[in-house]
Amino acid sequence: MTMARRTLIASLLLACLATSPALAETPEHYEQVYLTQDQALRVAIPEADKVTPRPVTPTAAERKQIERRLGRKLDETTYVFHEGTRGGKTIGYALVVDEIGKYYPITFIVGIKPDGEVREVAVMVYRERRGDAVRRGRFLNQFDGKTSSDPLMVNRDITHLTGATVSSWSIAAGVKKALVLFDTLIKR
Amino acid sequence: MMTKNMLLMHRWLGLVAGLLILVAAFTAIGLNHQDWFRKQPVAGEGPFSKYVLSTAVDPHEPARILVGTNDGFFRSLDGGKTWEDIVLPVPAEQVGAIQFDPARPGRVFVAFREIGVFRSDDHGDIWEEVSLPFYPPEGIHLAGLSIGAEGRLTLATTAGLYREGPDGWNSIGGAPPAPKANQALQLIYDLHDGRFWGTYGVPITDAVSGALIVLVLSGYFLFFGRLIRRRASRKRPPAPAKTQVPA
Repeated sequence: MTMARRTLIASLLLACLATSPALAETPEHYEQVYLTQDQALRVAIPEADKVTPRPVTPTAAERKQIERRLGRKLDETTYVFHEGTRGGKTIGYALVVDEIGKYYPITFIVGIKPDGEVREVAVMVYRERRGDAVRRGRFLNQFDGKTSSDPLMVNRDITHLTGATVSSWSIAAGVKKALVLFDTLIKR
Repeated sequence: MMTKNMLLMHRWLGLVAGLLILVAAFTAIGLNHQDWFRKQPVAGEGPFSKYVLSTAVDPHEPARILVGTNDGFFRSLDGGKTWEDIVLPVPAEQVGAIQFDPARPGRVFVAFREIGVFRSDDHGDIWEEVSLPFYPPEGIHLAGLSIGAEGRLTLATTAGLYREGPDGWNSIGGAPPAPKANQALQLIYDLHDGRFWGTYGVPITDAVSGALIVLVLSGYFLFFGRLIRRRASRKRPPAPAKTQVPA
């Protein structure tokens, strides 16, 4: 083996090690913005000619009902649903969700059809070094058509991404939250 | 003679090793895609079709029973006649321990081995994650929990005991492994199971396993093909000797 070939192989191995996600992992803040809110709304409700924010504050009874369905407490007091209309007719809703990943929140948008089915999920901001593959269609397309009555649980009806396990749990829990909120506060 | 024996040994060891490589490669692909084999849960099936790991009876309402399994967390309100799934924001897997607080009706703790500890103050309807001094998905796993005086927890983990005190958590009876050794071990695990490559781990190990399967099967094809051809040529009757016709 020539010296040049040995050097090339050694360099390739070193490059693989240096770029490995396992070595790159640190808990430090690493914000990556993939979509702004306007871009995200266009992805979640693409046919809408007008998008109107609709802030909703659940009553104490609604809050309790939502928490029981989710099995966890709600952190926020008010939720801003975005209603998309076309020619004056409602064609969909979207909710921006913040859900804690491994260390920091993942911000993503859930597009919901008027009947309560998921239309689109898109990651807007990812804040950790590892696991941003959850923004890919291969993972997010699994949510299309899901409703609040689906389990939306990793290893039940959602397959997690290897190397992004905690982020997969977080997105699944956030989509479930958005659907239950929609069901209780908008669809009623 | 020695070279011939070595070749023979090499050939037969290669055949056996090839079988092991096939098993390892097929199971590696299977592990990467466990969802192909996962049985979909049936509603109302209850915990006893799974591997039960923990159980607890509410001391204030004995008909209320919680059961944790390797793949689900269940509740019965009628002494075990009917069961329902408990909803949580994380996958309810490897439920290592469940404890009702005897001093506080409605309060219950559950420890998921590789996820963390959750607390409910309403018999298990709404859960909150308990803040721990370590992060279970990163290697220190929970084996058990116990409620002590004033509702303070003691956790048994793979890195020793942790006891909740008035000023926070104290590690007793062991300490987490030294970071350096732990990192080296983690690197070995990560390299072995493909997590080293992050989200590329699955396609990389699938491709390597596929390549190994092709190599072994093509090796078998070459070996046995040659063997069969050699045997066939031995069975063939020898060609008749050419006879000289006298002029």
